[in-house]
Amino acid sequence: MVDTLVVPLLKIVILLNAVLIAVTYMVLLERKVIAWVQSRLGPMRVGPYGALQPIADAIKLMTKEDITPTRADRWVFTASPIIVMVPALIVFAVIPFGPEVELFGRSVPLYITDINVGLLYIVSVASLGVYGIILAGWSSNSKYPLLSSLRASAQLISYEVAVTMTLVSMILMAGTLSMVGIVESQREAGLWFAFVQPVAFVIFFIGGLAETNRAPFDLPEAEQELTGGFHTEYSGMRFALFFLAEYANMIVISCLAVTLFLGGWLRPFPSVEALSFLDLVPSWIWFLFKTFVFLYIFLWIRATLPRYRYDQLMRLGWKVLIPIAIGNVVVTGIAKVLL
Amino acid sequence: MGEAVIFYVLSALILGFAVLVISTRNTVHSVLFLVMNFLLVAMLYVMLGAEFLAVIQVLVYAGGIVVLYLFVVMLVNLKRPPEVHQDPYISGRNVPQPWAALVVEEENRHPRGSGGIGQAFHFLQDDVVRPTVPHARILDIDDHQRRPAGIDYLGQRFADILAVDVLHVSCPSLF
Repeated sequence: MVDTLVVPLLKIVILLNAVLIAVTYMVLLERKVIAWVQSRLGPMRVGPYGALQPIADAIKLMTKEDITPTRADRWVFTASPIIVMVPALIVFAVIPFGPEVELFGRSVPLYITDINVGLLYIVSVASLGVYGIILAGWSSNSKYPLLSSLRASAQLISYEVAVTMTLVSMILMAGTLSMVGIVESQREAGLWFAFVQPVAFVIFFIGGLAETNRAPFDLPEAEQELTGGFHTEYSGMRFALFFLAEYANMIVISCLAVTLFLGGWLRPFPSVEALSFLDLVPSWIWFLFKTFVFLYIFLWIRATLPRYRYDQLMRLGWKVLIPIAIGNVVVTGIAKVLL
Repeated sequence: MGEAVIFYVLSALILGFAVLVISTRNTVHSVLFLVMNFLLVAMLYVMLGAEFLAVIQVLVYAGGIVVLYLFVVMLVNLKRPPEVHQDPYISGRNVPQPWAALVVEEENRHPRGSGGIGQAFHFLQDDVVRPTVPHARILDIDDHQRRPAGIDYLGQRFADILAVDVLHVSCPSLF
């Protein structure tokens, strides 16, 4: 009873809250990092160095008027922020933050569940998020959101191909679809898969930037052209849901990249005995640290690189990334057979 | 027991969404109900212990194919009401009822004086129908929209002819 119901429920509650808090603080971190890059201070008023800014933002967004345009499709308009947010959250069910650990005298795995099709589950659930974006643009019954949602969905569908192809080569490497199994196979191999599959790693990261609509692929939210993107007509908490879902997706992509390419909860060079003192750091801290590095790179890129043009974006996706990803799968397969 | 309850609830939902898919007037809503249908079918697969199939169902059908449906539906502006089909035979005539449309049809087949049902119904056409129902052209639009989709219009017409023919056989005194 305790092991089958109470512990998983507790883990779900803790994880959901942790993700939502992490998401709100990602927003603050982004504002701070971009401010530092541009020699500004960023938010400084609420709390020490603006540390309580997310709480002020949350109160502001929740008390704002919630407007539905008259000519909007009411049901779809209401549902689309939810459709965007839910897949971003339920993906966390299979992400392993650590191995089984001893907690209060019982063995507790640091993940909610480990299903044997974990990676496919993530890909399939993530592919549902595009509905929210298409429907948000369509149901607003407004020009700019519709244009933006068409851009966004075309971009998501294009880059999904390349990302899924890199995942295929990772499945070939690990020989399993289970997320825990992928980390375990990196421990057995003795090194992170990023060193074996650098091409897949780079393509996955670029594709991840595009999938989360981040700079330099943030065409769907190009303020100068589209007055804000597919959520132009949204206000208040519904707008906040789109906003939070974007950052939740960034965290998902980072967690996925860490699990697949950077050894998940493993310390650097898990086979080298001389570095075993690194095991003093708990495994979940390694995981969170690597995820944080990824998130920081997301913000760093946003502050550094200019936006792509639409045709450049499509050319990069279809003529560069997808052929390289397919070639990588072929090479990995041949190497797997020969070695 | 619990499994049976979940199964029947799921099945009822799947059938309900399937009915909604074909009965909703708004095409985008119809596509959304289709997605719900696919997701519930995936849950059915999970209940059967076929997780791989369930995930592929979500990935390929719900996540891939229906997105393309949605694109097509959005590119083709379906908010405009469908154009009413104009029947070249009856569009220019004043016909109040489906069976009267049949009369016109019969008349085309058997021109006046050549015998047949058309001739027998002349009194209807000339003296009753046309003068008393001046707004009867509304029928051309109304009749098509009321007609259930999927039933072939010509098939419907054929049924009318059949009905009158049965009448012809059973009550010869009328003609």
